[in-house]
Amino acid sequence: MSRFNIIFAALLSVFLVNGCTEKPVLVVQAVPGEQSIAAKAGKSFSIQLKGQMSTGYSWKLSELPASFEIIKEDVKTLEKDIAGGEDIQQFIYRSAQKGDFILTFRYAEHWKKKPKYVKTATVKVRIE
Amino acid sequence: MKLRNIGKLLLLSGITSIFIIAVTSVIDAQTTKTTKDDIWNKFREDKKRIGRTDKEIKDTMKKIVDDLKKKNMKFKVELNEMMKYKISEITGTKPPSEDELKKKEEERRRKEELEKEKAEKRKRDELRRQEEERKKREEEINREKDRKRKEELKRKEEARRKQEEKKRNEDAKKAEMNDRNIPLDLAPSGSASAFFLNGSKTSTLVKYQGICGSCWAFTSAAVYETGYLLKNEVVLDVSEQSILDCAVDKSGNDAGSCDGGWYGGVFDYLTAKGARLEKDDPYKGKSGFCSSSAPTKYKVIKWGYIRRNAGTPSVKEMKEAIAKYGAIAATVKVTPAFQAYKSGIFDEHASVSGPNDVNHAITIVGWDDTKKAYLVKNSWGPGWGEKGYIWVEYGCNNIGYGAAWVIVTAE
Repeated sequence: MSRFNIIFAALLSVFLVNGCTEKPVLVVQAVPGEQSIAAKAGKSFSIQLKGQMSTGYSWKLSELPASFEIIKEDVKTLEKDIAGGEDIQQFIYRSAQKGDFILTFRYAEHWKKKPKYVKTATVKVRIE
Repeated sequence: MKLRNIGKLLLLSGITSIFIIAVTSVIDAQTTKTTKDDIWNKFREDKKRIGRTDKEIKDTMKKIVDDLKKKNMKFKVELNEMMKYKISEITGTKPPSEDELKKKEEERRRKEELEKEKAEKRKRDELRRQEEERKKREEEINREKDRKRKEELKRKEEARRKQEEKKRNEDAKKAEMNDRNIPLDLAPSGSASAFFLNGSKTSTLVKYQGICGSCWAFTSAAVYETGYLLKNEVVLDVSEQSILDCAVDKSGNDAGSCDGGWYGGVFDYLTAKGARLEKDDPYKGKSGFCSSSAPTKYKVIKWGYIRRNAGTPSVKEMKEAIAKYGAIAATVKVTPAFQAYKSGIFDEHASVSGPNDVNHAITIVGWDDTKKAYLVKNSWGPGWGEKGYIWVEYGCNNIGYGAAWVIVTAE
C-alpha cells in the first residue's frame, strides 16, 4: 500500500465528450492527498483512484455536492491472472452548475458499521 | 440193673427212630411204589449196618469202665444215645491220607494259581481297560484339541481373510482417497440440488486478511484446511503468513505478496514443502521474510484446475469438483456492491472486460440450485456478509474463473 503514500499523480489528459455513455472529458488518476481539476459544466469527468478491492477496502465519496450527478462508478482491474492486485475505482460525475467544489474520497472497509479510514484523497473540482 | 434199663431205653428209642425212618421210607415207597417187604428189608439192613447189639453195647461199656478204673481216669461215663451206633457210623472224621493232602494241596495251589491268574488277568484286563480308557480319553482329548486347533485355524483364517479384506478396502479407499478428499460414500451427487461445506464439521473458521492483498494465500489455506478436515476429520489452522512469505511456484517464482498473487503457486509450494500452522507462523497482515521453509506433513498430493485452461468451469463441473474435493479455490470480480453484501443472493453481474477480469480469490464451498448460486467463503472475517460467506449467483461477476482443486495428504 506504500504506493498510496506517494504524492498525487499528475493530471493525465483532458478530452471533450458529450453524453454519459461516452468517455468522460476529464480523467484524474488520483492518489491520497489533494489535487485539483477543472471541468466544463454539463460535461462528465472521471476521477480514478487506485485500490485493492480484494482486501475489502475501497474508495468512497464522503459527500456528493448537490449539483453533481453520478454518471458511473466502476472497477477496472489492472493485472489479469492475479488475485488481490491493484484495481482502479472510477467515479464519473457531471455538474451543470459552475463553481468550486471539493470531493473527498476515503479508503476504508465501508461495509463495517464504523469503518476506519486508512487513506483520504481530496479533489478540488472547478466547474467552468 | 440200671444199665440194663438204660440199654433198653436206648434200644427202644433206636427202634423208634428206625421205625420213623421206615415210615418215611414207606411214604417214599408209596411215592416210588415200593412194596412193604422192600421197606422191611431195608429197615433190617440199616439196623444191622449202623447199630450195635445189646451185647455189644454192654461189652463196650464194660470195657470203658474197666479202662477208667485201670487208668485211674477222672471222668465219668454212662450209657447214652450214641452208644447204640457203631463208632464208624457216628464219627465221619477220617484224617486224610498224605496223598490226599498232597492232592488237596496241589488243588489248593492250582486253585490259588488259577485265582492268581484270574486276578492277574483281571488286573491285566483292568489295565487294558484303563489303557483303552486312557487311549479313548487321549483320543477324545486329541479330537478336542484337533477340533479346537481346526476352530482356531478357521478363526485365524477368518481373521486373516477379514484383515485382508479390510486391507483391500483400506487400500482401495486409500487409492480412492488419493484421488479425492470426500470419501465416495459420503460425497453428494453432482446432481444434488444443494450441498454446503459451512458447518462446524465441514469447514474451518472464516479469517480476516486485513488491508494486505493476500486473498490468494487465504484461499489456499482455506481450501487446504477444508480438504484436510473432510479427509482426516482434523481441524487445521494453516499459516497464511507462511504462505505469504515463503510460497514459490515450481519455477521458483514468488506465489505472491500483499500486492496480489496466485494460489496455483501456493499449491506447487504445498506439494513440495507442505503447509505450516498458524501457531508457528501467525498472520501479521504484511509481507515479511520466510521464517521457515522446512518440509511439513501437511502436503498437497495433487492439484489442478477444473478447466485445463484455468478458465471458468460450468456449474455442473464445479458441483462435481466440490462433491469430490470439497472446497474449491476460485476468483471473482469484487466491486463496491460485492463489498457491501450483507445477505441474500449476490446477482450484481458487474460489467467485465472478459472472463479473466477478476480481482479476488475466494473459496467456493457449496451450491444451491434453488438459489442458483454458489456458497462462497470470503476472507474478510465473520463480520462481513452472512457470517463471512456470500451466495453468488451462477455466472455472476466471473465467479469461478481459475477454479482449482487440491487433494491433501491422509493422516
